[in-house]
Amino acid sequence: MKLVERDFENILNVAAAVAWWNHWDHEHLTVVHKNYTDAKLLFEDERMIVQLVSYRVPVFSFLISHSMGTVICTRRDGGGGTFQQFNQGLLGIPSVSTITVEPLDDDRCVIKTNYKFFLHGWTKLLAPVLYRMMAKWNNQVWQEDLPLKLRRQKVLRHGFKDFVGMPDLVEDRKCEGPLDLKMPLPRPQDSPVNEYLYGILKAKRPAAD
Amino acid sequence: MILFSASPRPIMQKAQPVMQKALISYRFCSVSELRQAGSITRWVDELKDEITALYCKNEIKVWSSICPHYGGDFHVDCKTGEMRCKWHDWRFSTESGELKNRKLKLKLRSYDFAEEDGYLVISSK
Repeated sequence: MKLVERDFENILNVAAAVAWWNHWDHEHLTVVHKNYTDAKLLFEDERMIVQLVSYRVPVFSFLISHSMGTVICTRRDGGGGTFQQFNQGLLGIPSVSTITVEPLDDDRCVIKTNYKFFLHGWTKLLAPVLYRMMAKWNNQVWQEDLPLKLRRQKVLRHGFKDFVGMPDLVEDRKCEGPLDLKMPLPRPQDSPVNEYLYGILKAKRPAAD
Repeated sequence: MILFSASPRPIMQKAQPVMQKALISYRFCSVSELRQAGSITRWVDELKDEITALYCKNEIKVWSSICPHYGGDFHVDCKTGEMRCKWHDWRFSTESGELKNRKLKLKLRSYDFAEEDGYLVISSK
């Protein structure tokens, strides 16, 4: 077996809770990210999801990978923590993506991303392609998510409340101190990512209504 | 014998001043500029909100363009009468500000406005 691995690191002027929100918001995948063509949840709780995703392969965008993946997150006191996404995509190549969020202060954090691809047999020949593909994928996803994170940080610091909006009075439009996030994120029951979720589990989950 | 009934009298309280929140006004854009562009979106520091003024079907509407879902921004389309959130594809009516494609009762915040000297002046408390 051959392991292809690559690391990326960014410091961002957003709270760790904003980074968590971005990574745990499954609804935005097919709307914001050009490469994602489908995303459906099969299971979700506050630490873990199982999802069906389809995405265009970087560089070879005529190829679409369909896979079932598991994401597990571990949050630590103080706002930091780790996501790990386990996937087996195109050509059956297993991969693990690990995203670590470390708060630097109330409004800054470090986001470290590590990609690993495990290559067997003839797929070892793809190692150099995958190495470049990881950078292209990471950069594209980062650039697509960046305006979301910055805007989310801005509205939260002006007192924005999810599913409510900005406070009624201008003088109330402020929010100081550390930002927090409860997972899983509430969603309306008719959200497209829920298409198979309730049918499989028939379990109650936090609803936005 | 006259009986004086101790009927309750209203207690006279000292009048309290009513504190009114000050109205904040902001000259947003020129009306001619808005008519030409169809829609103008700006962050307004004085109101601490992002505001979209629309000129659709010969009518001016002024909405907060921060999606009440998670704070996203909008594509504005006067032809379809929709403001579509770029983050999660939630769609709001440009006419009523109401959410159209989810089973939730959510609405965009509207702002009072007036035309003064050819400018659109928006106000809020």
